[in-house]
Amino acid sequence: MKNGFSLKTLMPDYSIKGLPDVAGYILSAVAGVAIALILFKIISSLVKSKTGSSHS
Amino acid sequence: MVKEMHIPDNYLSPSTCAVMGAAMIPIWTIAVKKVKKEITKAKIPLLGIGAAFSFLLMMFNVPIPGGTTAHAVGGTLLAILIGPFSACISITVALLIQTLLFGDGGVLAFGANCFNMAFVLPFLGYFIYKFIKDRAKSEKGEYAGIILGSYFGINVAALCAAIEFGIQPLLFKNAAGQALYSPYPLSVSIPAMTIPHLLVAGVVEVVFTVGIYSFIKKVSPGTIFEGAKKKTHAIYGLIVALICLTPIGLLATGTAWGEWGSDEIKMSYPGGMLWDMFPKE
Repeated sequence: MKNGFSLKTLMPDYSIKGLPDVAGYILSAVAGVAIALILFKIISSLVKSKTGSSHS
Repeated sequence: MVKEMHIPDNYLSPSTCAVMGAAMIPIWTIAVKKVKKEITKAKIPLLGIGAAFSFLLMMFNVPIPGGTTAHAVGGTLLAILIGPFSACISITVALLIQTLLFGDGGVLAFGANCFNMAFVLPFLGYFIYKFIKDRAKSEKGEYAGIILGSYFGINVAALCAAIEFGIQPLLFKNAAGQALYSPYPLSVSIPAMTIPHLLVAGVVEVVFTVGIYSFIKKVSPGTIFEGAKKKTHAIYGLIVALICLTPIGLLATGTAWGEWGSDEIKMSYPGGMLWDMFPKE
């Protein structure tokens, strides 16, 4: 298991190096939420609107 | 600290991971087709709100006696709010962010984690909710459906994870008979996963589901899809409030059973007693 696959991530365990746990955790929450919201906004903007529906 | 029910890499064999990933491909394909067909362009951002809720709920770790933690997923909540297919996609995205950015849940085990939390949970939870709601036809009946759907949804998802762990030592051993991946048999993995979920995580899932569902119903009597400005503001307000409250999840120290980091596994192994199976921090 020591030689197993492991991915190095940007914010491992919801912490940011040099920041207190609480700050790192809140920033992790902000980052996760922001990525989720922005990703679906982008998908929405890429999807063609159905014929007849209004463009907004 | 790592969280409950997210299977890390190297606990399931690559073949198990491949089977689980292959199982998810038709599910994702059907979900994307359904969402494309049924959800208009303007409503797609609601899937992002769903993913945000699921991501945040999974950050609220609650302590389990024995030194581990568990958390809600919000799978049934999302399925009720945006439909099970949209919920499947939203939770998949939440899990993807957790895996790639925070190292929570394995990359190879991604298919297995999605199968448990983005497929079994929302679809089973939604089925139970709908079954009860359609027969009871009252507000009380609807809430009974929400409670039972969210409780059993997360518990069956936990059982699935336990089975995936538990079959590893049966199937994959080296020549000396030692387990190559997760060493715990079904007789250990099932109680270790299901008891905390039956007693704690299931209850937390019910509380979050009922709480957030009633909040959204209060700010908008229609469905979540009939988007008035005022309602979206209230929902964003709720997301900000949840972000501010996430450090509560830090109070629960210890690592969830089945979610150890690679540094934790060895010391928790040869116990034999269930108690020893729980890494103490």
